[in-house]
Amino acid sequence: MSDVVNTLLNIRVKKIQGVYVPNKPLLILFALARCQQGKDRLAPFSIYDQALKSISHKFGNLNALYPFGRLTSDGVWEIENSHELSRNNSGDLFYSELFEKSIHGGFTAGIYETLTNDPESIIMAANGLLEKFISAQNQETVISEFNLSKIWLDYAYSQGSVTSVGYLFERENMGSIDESVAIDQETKISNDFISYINSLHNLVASGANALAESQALSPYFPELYVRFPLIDTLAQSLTDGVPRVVILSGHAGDGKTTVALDVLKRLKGLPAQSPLAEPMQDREEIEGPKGPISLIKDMSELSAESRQERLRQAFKEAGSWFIISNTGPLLSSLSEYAEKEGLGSGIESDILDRLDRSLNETSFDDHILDGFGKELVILNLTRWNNLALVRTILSQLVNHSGWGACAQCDVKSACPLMLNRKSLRDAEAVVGDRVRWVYQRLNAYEQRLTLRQIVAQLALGLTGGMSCTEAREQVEASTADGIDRGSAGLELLLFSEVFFGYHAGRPWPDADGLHGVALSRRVTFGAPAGVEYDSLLKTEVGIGWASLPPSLNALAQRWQHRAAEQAGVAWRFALRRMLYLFGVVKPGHDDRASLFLDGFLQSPSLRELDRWQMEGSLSSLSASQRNRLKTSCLRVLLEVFSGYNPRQFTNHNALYLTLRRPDRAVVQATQLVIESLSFQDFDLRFDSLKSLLVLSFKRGKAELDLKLPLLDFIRRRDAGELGNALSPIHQNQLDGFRARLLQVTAEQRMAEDEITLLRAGIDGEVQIHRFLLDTKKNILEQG
Amino acid sequence: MENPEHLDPIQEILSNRFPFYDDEEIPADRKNPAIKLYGRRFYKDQTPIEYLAEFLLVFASPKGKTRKSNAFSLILGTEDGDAVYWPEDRIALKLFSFLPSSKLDTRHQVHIEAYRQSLDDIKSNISGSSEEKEQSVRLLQSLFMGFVGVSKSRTWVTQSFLPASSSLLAREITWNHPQAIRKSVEDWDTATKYFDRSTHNFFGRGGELLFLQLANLFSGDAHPDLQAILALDVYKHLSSIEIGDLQRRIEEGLSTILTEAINPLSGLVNFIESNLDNCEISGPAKSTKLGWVPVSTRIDAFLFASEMNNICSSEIGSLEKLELLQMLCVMQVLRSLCMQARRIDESEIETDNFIGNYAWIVASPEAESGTAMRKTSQNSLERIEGLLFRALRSPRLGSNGYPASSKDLGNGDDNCFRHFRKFGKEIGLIIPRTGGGQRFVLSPSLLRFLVAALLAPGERVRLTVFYARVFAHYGIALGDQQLSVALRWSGGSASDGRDFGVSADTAWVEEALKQGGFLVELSDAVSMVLNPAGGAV
Repeated sequence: MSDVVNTLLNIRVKKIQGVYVPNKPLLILFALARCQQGKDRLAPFSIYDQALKSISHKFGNLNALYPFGRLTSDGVWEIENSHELSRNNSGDLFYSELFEKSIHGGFTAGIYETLTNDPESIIMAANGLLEKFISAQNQETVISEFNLSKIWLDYAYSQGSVTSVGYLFERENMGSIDESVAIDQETKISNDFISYINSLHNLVASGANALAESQALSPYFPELYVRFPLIDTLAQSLTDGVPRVVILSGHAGDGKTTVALDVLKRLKGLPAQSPLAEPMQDREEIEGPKGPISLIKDMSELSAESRQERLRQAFKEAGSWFIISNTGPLLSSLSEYAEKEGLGSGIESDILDRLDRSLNETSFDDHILDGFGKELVILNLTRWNNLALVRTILSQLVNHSGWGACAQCDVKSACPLMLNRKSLRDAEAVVGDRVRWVYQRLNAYEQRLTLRQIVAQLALGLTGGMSCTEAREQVEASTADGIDRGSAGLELLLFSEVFFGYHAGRPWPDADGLHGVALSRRVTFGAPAGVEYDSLLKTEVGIGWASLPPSLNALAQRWQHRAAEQAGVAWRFALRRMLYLFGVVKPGHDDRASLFLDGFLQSPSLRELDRWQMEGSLSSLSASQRNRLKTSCLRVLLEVFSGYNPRQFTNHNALYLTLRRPDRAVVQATQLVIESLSFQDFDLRFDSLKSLLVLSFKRGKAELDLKLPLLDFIRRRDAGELGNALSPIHQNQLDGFRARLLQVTAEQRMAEDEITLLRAGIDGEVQIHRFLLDTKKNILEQG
Repeated sequence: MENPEHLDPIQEILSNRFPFYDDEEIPADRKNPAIKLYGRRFYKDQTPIEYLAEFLLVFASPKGKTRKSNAFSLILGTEDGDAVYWPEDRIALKLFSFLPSSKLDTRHQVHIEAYRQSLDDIKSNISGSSEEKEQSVRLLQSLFMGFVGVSKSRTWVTQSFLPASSSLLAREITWNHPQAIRKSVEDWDTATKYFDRSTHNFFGRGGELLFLQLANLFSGDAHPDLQAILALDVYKHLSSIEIGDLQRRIEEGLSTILTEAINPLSGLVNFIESNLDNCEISGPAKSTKLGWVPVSTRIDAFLFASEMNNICSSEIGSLEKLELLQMLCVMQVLRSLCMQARRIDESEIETDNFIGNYAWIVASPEAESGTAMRKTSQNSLERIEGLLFRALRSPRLGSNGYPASSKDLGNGDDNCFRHFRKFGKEIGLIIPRTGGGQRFVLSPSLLRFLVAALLAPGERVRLTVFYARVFAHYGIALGDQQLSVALRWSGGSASDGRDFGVSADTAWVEEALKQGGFLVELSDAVSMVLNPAGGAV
């Protein structure tokens, strides 16, 4: 055994109650995998942290902070600019600083050189570390997640579909699968496509295909591929002969790498839906029609010095550059570059401003930042509305040709996986929109989900994490006949349950590992929409507005029966989720359906806003509907600004801006009006770039963005619902709108001698009192 | 006189005052250790709104001997004599607005008669039927009642207005009710001598002191101590500020709030006062002499001024600005108490990245009992109170090398650590109001204030930069790097440091910022804080 292997196996590893704390060995195993894959010696901390987090479901909370810092004292690890980093009293580094400065680390140069020159030593070290520090049941996860190759395990691994012993994971072969059906020793069908779908979420060990780079080489990916609308504009901006630097940033999982791959294929003239023959290089140089184009796959993976060098090249050398980068390193590097170039200290605020702008797919004019010598375009995928793709992605998952292999399976008619898929296909007309609405709700009220998170949640909804083997076991264990043999299994993985994080009516804690599921659970989808309605749910009347796919009828009846029992609360929730996702509205039942759907989504405006977003305008509203909506908005603003209910005004066609104390410390029974604005001066418009409704005063002099929660608040308040307090974010937004209205009307403000007061009379009606103040004669006249 | 090398630096801090008076000190200047340390004076019983009202009163009033100059200015105008200002009485307006709601047993018959007469006088200058006149008067009274600042159980003349307009700014006047009863006062003219314009029971000079801090800052050219802090990286955002420009911008900003923003209100005040000129205090106008501040508070004042400028230049309503300015006054008092204490207390270490050399460790208001952060913030408050308590007991503040007497120390403590605790509770920086386990927290309204005060309107900064800025201005530790410095300052042991380093959880701060609309997530690792109050950056 070489010295290096010995050194790695003898690192100091803490034990708690006799069990090794695995952080250090796991970090080394990941670094070994990187060596094996020929990657750079040093990598940003975020890469290590992400890797460890990806297997947290097996090991509990893992983060790379301590092993990353402490491995240096084992003599095997090196950290870039280590002496300049802040440390706490214990000498540990700070998470935020490692992230923010994109600090790189990795094996020392000597160890890295030995490992790369002797690939066997990597295998020996990895084997040794796995056996010494990692429990047997978790070893496969580590090997799979880290993409370690040619690892020999000495224990007999007999669970699941793997029955052989030896080189278990030959990842290199992933891209060359030419059959989607594999037949094992017992000649039972196992469809690899199911494994592929399960690899799209990280709930089970093999979440390897979650990353775009793996997808680029997968034979299943092309059929799932959805073209990003901004690719055309990107390609155009890189090839039009104007030298520019385009930087693309965003959340991990937003699709940065997918966009880069698409652009690369486009620039190289490769078909968009074919896998790449080889992985994308860190820097790709393409000779474009009007000059050279450079593509940097991930600037964040470079060291701080290299990033500066790349930026210098991008701005000083000829041609256009397309740079992908995580946001933190981008900000630090670009700000540092700007400072070196003497571009002023306020540049970071400008960069942040560009990063915050809604991504315009068709024109980058709003994203340009001047002053860098070349035109700099900053795009942030986080500011792109990815929900337009949801319906397509779900449809492509459900209708993928990979399912074809199941046709040869002897249990296909009762297979829960197939039954689940069939339900989705039968309800295809509605399920795509219903899923998108859920994401709209989560985006607006909770948190935006990345495309990777969405795909993971949809993939989990399709299989419930169940493998072919497990599906077969479910069928074979059933004592029922025919299609009913799959019912028990279907209950476990029905899309309407798993998608929301439930298993047969009960919460499924394991699914919380998926961000989308965790957020959905916070909202508690499926709660009662109303007392009257809830009592009807157990009867035919309650679900009479919807028709369910025939494949679900038996299940629906069973759940309805259980829901009627005293302890049937969980089944009522499950039934509502089923109705929401699969229920096709019967003709003539639109009102009841709307009541149910809006109640389920807990948003009275979501579906309407979605329709405008899809249409890109308010064209579906008639003039009178539009006016009614505008009046609703202004009536609520009147209430928020003055404190009086609009019903207290006899003529509510003006918005009064009064001198109302923000501290509400005393009751201001009489309020001084600073400005009175006619409702006629306001209009509603749809902003297609921001994808939201905007209340506009005098054609844009002052505007209020009506995001979904604010629109919901207005709708509820206008309908007379009490108890819906305005959240601070919207209170601040309305205060800002009020200030802008006062600002833009300052010049036309009524003369100082005109006094208007509002006061509620004993009957509650608000009276408007007008006076004229004659300052020369010192007389107050009734106005 | 500043920083001559041969002088003891602490002696220099204590003896170098602004404005410099060559006449004798009042006794409190010599005895009360809090006044000796902080200037004349921070006052515990002055409410936050009265701090702001008094500050704006000094600002808006003419200053200097001749009563003709320096209104709406941060300049003292001491060329022609002592530092004095000439505040308005507004006694007629208070009579009209507050007498009906004043405590019955403090309404003197003379006041009631004057009030009745004032209603008649006003009605005679309102057009319309008698019913309309009656209704108009009630409307006006109701309108002004809505602008009451502090009422409590005080009699009408001691109540104050919200300082929403210069026409609502008035000096403190007290009414000697027992004496007036004893002397059987029967008419207004006789009664006026029982109105006292020289007391400082409610306007306790706290606002004056804040004004003097700024006047001191703007009284000369750029100072070396300011230039030194501006060279530090954490204060880079202030480095482009030119002192003269800062003064001009604040003066314009405050003037706009007090005069232009709500013109109609001023018109009505003038209408009332001009109709009730017989309800004024007879005799010549009376000036008020200002106290003093230590010259060394210039750095605190610079931070105060930069924050005030951000608030004044925000595109928000004038009443919203006043609310933020009130919070700013309170926070400046708390910061000044700690910074000045640290200047004479040599037993503590310095803090990296904060010129104030103290730290407040805040916990989530929701943090559960027994959690590490809650204990740490509790400990932090104890450390700060210990610092303030200890500072007043410095022999430097006594005489002949001995600490001040226990009576003087008691008075001093009232206006130092007890003042800190009271104000901290008023704004929700310290909870709970009563009972044990008192600790520092950050409420949503404080976070909103920090965004408005520390970021220029429309400015965007990374969350980590915001944390650094909050620490650089107030010593409030939010991020883990600041927490590490704060723990070192607070005397946390190595093991404490490790534990707290691990659990430096800022999720609650981020959530609160997000709820307020100030935090925008740009990616999974980077968020930015935005001051949405418009304006040019």
